[in-house]
Amino acid sequence: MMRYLIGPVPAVILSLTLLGALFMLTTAAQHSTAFGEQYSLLLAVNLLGIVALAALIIVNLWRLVRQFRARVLGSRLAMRFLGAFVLLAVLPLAIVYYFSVQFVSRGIDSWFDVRIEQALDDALLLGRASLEAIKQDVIEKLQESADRLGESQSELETISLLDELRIQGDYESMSVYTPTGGIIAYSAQEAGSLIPDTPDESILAQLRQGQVYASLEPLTGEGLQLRVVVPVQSRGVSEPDQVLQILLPLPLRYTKLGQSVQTASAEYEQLVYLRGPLKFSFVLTLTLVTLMTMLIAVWIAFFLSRRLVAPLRDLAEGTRAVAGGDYGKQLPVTSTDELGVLVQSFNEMTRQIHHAQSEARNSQREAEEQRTYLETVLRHLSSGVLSFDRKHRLQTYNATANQILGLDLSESHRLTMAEIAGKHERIEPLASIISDGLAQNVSEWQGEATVFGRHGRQVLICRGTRLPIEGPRRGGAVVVFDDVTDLIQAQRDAAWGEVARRLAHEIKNPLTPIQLSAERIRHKYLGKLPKDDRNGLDRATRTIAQQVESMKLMVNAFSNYAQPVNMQLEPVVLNRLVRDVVELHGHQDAPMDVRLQLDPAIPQISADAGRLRQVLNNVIINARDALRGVEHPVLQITTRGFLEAEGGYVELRVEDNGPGFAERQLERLFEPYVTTKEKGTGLGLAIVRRIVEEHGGTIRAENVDPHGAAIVLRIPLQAARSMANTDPNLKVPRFKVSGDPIG
Amino acid sequence: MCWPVLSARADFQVIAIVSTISGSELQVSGTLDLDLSEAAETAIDKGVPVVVQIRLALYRHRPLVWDKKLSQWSVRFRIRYHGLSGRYIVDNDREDGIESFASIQQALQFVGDLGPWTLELPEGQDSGGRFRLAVRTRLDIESLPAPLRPLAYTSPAWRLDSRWTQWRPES
Repeated sequence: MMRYLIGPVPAVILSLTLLGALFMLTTAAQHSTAFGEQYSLLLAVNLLGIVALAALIIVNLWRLVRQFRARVLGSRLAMRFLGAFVLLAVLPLAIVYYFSVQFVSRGIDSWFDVRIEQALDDALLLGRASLEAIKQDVIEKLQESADRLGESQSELETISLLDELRIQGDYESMSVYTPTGGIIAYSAQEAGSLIPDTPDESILAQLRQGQVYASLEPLTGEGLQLRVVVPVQSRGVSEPDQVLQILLPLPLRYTKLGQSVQTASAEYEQLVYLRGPLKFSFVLTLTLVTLMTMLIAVWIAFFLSRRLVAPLRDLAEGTRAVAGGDYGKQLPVTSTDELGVLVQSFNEMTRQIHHAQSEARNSQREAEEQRTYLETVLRHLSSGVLSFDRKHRLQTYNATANQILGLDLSESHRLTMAEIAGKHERIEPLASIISDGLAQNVSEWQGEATVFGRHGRQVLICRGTRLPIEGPRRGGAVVVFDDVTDLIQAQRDAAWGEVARRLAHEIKNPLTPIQLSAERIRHKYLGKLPKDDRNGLDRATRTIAQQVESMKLMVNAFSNYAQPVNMQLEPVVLNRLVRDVVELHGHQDAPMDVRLQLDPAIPQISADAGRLRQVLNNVIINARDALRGVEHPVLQITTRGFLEAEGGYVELRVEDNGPGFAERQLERLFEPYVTTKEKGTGLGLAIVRRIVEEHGGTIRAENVDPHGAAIVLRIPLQAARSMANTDPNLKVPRFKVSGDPIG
Repeated sequence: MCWPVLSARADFQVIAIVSTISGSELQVSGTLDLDLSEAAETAIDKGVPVVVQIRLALYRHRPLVWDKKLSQWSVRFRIRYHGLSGRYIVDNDREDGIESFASIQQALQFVGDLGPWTLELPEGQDSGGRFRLAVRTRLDIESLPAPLRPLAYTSPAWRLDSRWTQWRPES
């Protein structure tokens, strides 16, 4: 309802009505007979209309101000438009109004001329003087007639004289009254006029005071008549006892002239009198015209500002909706002008954006599905997958990567592998290989790294692929790595198992016949041969027997090495174990300075104490052998503990000041049949490594400055990897380790 | 017997009204006190005719509900100044002819002496029952020249109105 009331339709109707009423009012103000009778009504209608129009404008203005304060979109612009329109409309109107008022006031004043007014007054005075002369003449004649009547002796004489005098004076009627108005005699020109026009009481009172009454009286129509009343005094009587009245219509010529002067003078007099109200009326009409025009202009300003702002407001709302993500916003096209074209363009734009957004959404959904699919695949991959951007920063990873590395890579997002290795030192070998691979300008690369994981040593094979140059991840790379520790161990175990089997079958079996045959030859031919040949046979058969025995020992040792291990894990205090073993070697014939630097804070480890004792024994024996011939042999044994979030480990370092390892042997030192001793089997350090690896640990050898060698073992705190492996499907052959070191 | 039922203070006053219902006629006479303001007298002297309107309305009393208006009449007296003769002319729309007076007070007194008028009642009305006669006299602003009307409407000097006065006619 309110929207309809403040809409353009009622305002247009009201404006047209008011303009019509204003036209009629203007016409009425100009003394027009057309609308003069409705002047007041028209004035009231216009005033009410102006009030209604002003109320409408106030309501609109109030709404606009409220919208402006509420920062409604478009209200500020509408306010500016309104202000400009109002200024453009009101200012010229006010100027025109001011000058119009001045013009009307001075124009009305110019209607009146003092000379004309004076002339009309003089003309009226002249007419009055002329009539006055007539009146005086009649009075004189009538007084003479009154004297004659006063001398009459009877009423008959009076009546006769009255007729005579009326005819002589050419009066219309002549009558005689008593001082109180009683009729005495009456004479008239027209016989039908039987009722005399008796003078009223005021005239009679004037006569009773001895005065004469003479007056011109207007008649119905245009005529004037002269009424003269004079007292009649009888002879010998001082007080008048009768009054004489005549009625004399003035001549038509005098009457017309006098009436003309009277009318002109009266109209001019009225006009002069109405000059003030006329000005007021004109100014009022002009004010109403101006006010109404102004209000209509203001209303049109409202209408135009709304019309102009509406598409802009729609556009602003539309852009806001688009900014808010509503790309399906369509605006109504209400015009065909430039604003309409703008709105159409906006609609086309939002349509295209909406279409593009739909396509993008579909693409995003497809990409999301592909990503989900890829993540699912990656999650179920047994390989760890890492992706890097072109700056070699980690972008994505799969859960297997976390599982293999024992890390939470979510904390390492957008870090380089070097930075990740800085936080997790134990993956430094892998980080180094990956960093080197990423730095290479090759499409694919591959490498192997051994890291010390939460459950011990891990052998990782990683393969890197550079991503295509095009696309959002251009210049990046994907690295896939696998934990092949178990696989390598299984392969190695299988190989050694096969070797042991073949040795047992192919070597050990013929040794006994060889030995028996040698003893039979010795027994059969030793006594039959001459003394010189006997010695040769004896040396040959003994050599055969010794070598066979040696080969048996070697095969047994290797068999023991390849036998499956049956570890008995228990809590072990490494420092105590070290002291026990060192104590055993303290009574050897080759003295050396044994220095212990044991960390008292290292925790217990879960290990097979016997196997570890064997490991330590072998390492010390090797060191002792290496120190033979050294002037001041020193054996340094150090233990340290490394606690990490992922579990931690203990380190055992056995260092001597001997000649050290040959550089060419360092890499293959822990492989079977690698030895520097003349009588060694080459299985001692291999067995040591086997035991350490069965505990999930690592072992390495290094030379120290200025001379000497060191064997470094790291044993994880938790259970050995082989024991901790919960995968029932992974069947790893175990080998029995020989009890004594074979150097 | 007549008495004012309700009277309002004004420059025009209804002093007394004597009315008699006889058959199908209403006889009315009375006295009005018409006292023009100086502005109105000046306007007359300047040639502006002034109309004094006398309105009469006859009601029949009805118990419990409002009275029924039987008929109404209006008499308009025009007072104007005749400059040539120096007299005030009075005419009205009920009678032909004019009356002229030497002063405006005489003219107003003439107008104020109502009737006696004989007014005809509508056909079919009997004279039985109780009646009420409303009388009002006022200066008719709408009869003034158009430029004078806005001023007259806004000026108390021109608002001369007795308001309605109530009188009980004799039957």
